[in-house]
Amino acid sequence: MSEVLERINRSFDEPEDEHDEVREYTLFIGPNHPGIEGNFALKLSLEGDTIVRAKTDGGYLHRGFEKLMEERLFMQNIAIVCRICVPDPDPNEENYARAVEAIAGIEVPERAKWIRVLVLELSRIASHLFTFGGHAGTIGLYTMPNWSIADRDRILDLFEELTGGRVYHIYNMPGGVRRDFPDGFERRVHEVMDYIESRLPDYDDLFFNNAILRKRAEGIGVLTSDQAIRWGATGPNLRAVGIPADLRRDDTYEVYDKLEFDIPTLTGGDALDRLLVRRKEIEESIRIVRQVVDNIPSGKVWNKQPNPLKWRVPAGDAYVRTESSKGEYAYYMVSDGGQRPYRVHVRGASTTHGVHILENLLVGTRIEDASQVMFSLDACPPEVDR
Amino acid sequence: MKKWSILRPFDSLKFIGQKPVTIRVPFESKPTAERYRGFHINDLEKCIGCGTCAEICDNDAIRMVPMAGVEKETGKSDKRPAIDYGRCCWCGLCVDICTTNSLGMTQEYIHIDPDVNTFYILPDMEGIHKTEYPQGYTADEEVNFLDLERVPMKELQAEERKDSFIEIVKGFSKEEAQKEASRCVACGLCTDTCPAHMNIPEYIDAVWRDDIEEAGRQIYKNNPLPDVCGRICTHNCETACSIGNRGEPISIRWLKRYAMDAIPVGDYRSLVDQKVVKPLGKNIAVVGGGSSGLSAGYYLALMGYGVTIYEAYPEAGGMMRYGIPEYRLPYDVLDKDIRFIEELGVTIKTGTRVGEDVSLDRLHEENDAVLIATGFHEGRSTRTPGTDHENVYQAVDLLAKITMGEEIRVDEKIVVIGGGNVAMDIARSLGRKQMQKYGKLDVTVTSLESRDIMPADEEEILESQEEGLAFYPGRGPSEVRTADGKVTGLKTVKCTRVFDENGRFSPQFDESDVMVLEGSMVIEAIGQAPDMAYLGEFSEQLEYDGRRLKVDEYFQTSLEWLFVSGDIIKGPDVINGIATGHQAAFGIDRYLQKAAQDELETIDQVMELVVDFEERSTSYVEKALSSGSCGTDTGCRRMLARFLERKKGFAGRIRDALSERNLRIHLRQELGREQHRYFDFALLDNLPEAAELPDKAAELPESAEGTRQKGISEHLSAGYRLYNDLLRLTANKELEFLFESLRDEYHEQLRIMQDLLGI
Repeated sequence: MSEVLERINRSFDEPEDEHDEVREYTLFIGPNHPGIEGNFALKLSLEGDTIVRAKTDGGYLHRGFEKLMEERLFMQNIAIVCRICVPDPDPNEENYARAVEAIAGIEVPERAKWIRVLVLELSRIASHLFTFGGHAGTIGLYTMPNWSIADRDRILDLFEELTGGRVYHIYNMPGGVRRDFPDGFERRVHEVMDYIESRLPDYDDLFFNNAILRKRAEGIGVLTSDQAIRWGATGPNLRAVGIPADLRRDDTYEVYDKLEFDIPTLTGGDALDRLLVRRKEIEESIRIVRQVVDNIPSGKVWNKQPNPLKWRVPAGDAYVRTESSKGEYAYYMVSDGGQRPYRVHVRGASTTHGVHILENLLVGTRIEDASQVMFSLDACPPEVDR
Repeated sequence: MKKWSILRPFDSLKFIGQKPVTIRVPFESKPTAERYRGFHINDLEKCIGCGTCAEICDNDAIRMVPMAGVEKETGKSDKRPAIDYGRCCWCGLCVDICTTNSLGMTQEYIHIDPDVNTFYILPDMEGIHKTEYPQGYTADEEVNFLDLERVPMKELQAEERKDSFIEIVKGFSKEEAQKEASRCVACGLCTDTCPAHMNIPEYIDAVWRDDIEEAGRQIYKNNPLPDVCGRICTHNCETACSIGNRGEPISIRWLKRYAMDAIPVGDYRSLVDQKVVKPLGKNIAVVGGGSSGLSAGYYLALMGYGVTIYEAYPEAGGMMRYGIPEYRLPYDVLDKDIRFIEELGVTIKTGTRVGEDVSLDRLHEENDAVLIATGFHEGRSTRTPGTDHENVYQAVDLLAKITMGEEIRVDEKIVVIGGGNVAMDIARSLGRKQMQKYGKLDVTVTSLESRDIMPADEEEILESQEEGLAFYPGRGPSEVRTADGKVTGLKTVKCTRVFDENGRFSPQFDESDVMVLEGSMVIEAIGQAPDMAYLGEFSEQLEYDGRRLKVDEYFQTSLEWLFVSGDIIKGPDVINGIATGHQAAFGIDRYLQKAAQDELETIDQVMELVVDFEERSTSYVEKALSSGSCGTDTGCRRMLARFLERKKGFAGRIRDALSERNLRIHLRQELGREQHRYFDFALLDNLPEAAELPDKAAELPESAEGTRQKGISEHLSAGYRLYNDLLRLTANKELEFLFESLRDEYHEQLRIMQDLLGI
């Protein structure tokens, strides 16, 4: 290890002696690689099987969302923002809606707030299931993706029923949500939650208590609490080092303050603990979802907003943040009093996890763990690129 | 056993033999959710083609296309939305904003075809594949993007207003006006319906942006009496308003009023961007100083003519002043508009009755053309027995006297016959006079029409009822009762029908149902007729169309120097007066500018070319498509289809730009200024290939595609000539911009044709 560190400390621009033994080589992972969630590339410098330096190479998914938003009417943007993160789109809609509401001083009906919590938690479960499958895939356990992604589909069925879309919901909008529950929706939410809960022991058997995972993931990509704070880790990645930080508690929004849930933490800070924290979070999310459908107040779901074609949001700015499945997800929106946002900045949680932390954590790990480390951080490339 | 072990995954063996989640044999299709956002459907009958869906569309996936078999009508355009599924993101915003609820989505979501053109559809109720699919995402009453409720207009309460002639409607405050303006979706259906084709969405948008000057500018483009129209226009625009399909239409009239009230009179002049051109040395006499005469005078003055308006009454304004009571249209508001028209150089000779003070013959001799724009000032009588009594009056006479401040007879009990707006005006005016004289109000209104078909505006009737007027609708007058030479009341019988099956006026009565309405004064307000005695000897030389004077499309009568506009031609109402006055002004200009016909012929030639261009290129492309000259080459087919689509827009826009109305006034101004004509020779130089193309096409060897080549060469030469003509016309700055964009399109077409020819 010390030898490796010594090598890292050496200036890389220093030309290698041509006649010296060739010790270092470069390897590309991605941009099209099953071990990467979306299009993203890693440029690894290796010595033998050990990574000595990692450089992330993004931009393959850059669609210019922030700029696009400046060109569209406030209401039109609700159809765009969900596309910023595919596996977990709802925090985008939530942030966008809340940012506009904060600037324009819009009240949201109580029922809509509960529905938003429901949507966010369902999205969290779906996103975690997706990550489990991905993580398992990186270490060759291919049954897990089959299971978890099929189970995620049941949540997508719920979304389809509620919003009309499976992946891109375009549901949350300034002033509330677009539609109320369909008939019998509460019952079906309970059914799906019961089902997912019943599946968790199966997941444990297959994956979380599988010796292969334990042996592969334990002690890999260890993040200390100092590093986590210094490098800006948030969400499950921060909770896996023992810090119980969660925006749902620390900077509560919608109706999370009315709901009972715990914030699971672990202390290992390695790939395994990051995974297990998410596993525990699913249980908490199920708890929240059940509370929402049991206690949701009746009432309207949207407060009337002006005609979207002639709607000016007063000048002002707002920073709103949501605890997404990846961590702190925030929008900084500035309005100059016009019909379109003057500027929207998207702070994707994956930008810190997927670029800075990943580059650091990969150093010293072996090549076969590179994908695993990335998945354990749950870095979502579209969120990095925006 | 340890909590975790290599053996734990083997627990999953318990699933062996169980039904898998993903692969189901035999195949079971999963039902789609009821709310699924799939392919669009559109009820083409219900759809009004307002284009709001295309406006909200994030991705520009919706385009409004002209549809065969669909005609423009009030509140409906001839276009329908077509959706490009290469761009659509299925967000459903179009459904949530649809003004008629016609647009929806189905649960169908699969379309596979190698031909990209099949992804561009014009949705109808049958769905993309004409298969039965359940409806998916539909509009929701609770979450509805449109603002369906009007901002209420502040008015004087019945108790406050019924004894005074102070204006009832108070007008919008700035905040209210902006809120009301923000409801507009700018579909433009109102513009099509307005007789004067006012730029309504433009001025509403300006009001919303708080750019009052721009609002005034847009209003003055098509209406020289905006203060008046902002109060008493019959607002056909609001009938056409797309928001009215699901909610209350935009208060377009009050927004216009707000804009005009917010501009100081002194600033009107700077709003009229069409400056008076150099005087042409020709004079026009206008008979009648009402809305139509004033409108014609305004536009003629702008064109450089000397205009004299002859008005019989002491002040100009016609029915706007002498017919409409002050509480609806205050005189100072009317004066604002008239003073501005006078400032532009229009002379108004008041108190001069043509036919008495000055003869029409003399006007003919002294002027180059004469426009008659007299209105309906003769009250019609019911011819009921007893109406010849001196205490039976005509509504229009009394209204005029009230305006002139003459003393009129006001009794304690008054009966008004009539169910139209004039009846409401006189009844409410007399009610006010009664309040002033006796401190109480007793006016009875009776009409042939029952309450539901009374021709008066609904708001007029409601306001009259609030003020305490008594209504006896559905009754016909049969006799004016008198005793000792004094009127004592009006005997009425029940009216069982007003119109026959064919909609013709043919009332029937039930003589057994008699009711006597008490009153010592009876007012007849059942309609008005024109008094055209001033025509004198000319009346025999003129041709008639029924009762009305026969005019051609330029409002010219059979005497070429005599033009007609206003109520006696169309209406009667203010906005038609303004519109016909505007059009008659162009007719007069056209007649007087025969000398400058060269330039005008160019326009006609271009118009012919446009039509020719459109017909020929359409038939060519259609021939090429149907003859299968493209074969299975989808690239070629697509190119032709695209060409056809582009060409449609091209010709349509030229036609709009060249519509005579627009062009004549612009050209007149340009010619009047005698400025250096603007030729952009550089643009012509950029198109040498355009000139050569037809020759090159002709050089190509004869083949089975002979039709195609001929078509191309014809099209190109016609297009090239057209283009040159258009360039010559770009002397006008406003058209310049349009032609710039047309040039780009033409270049694109050339490129397409070059690609097709392979040269």
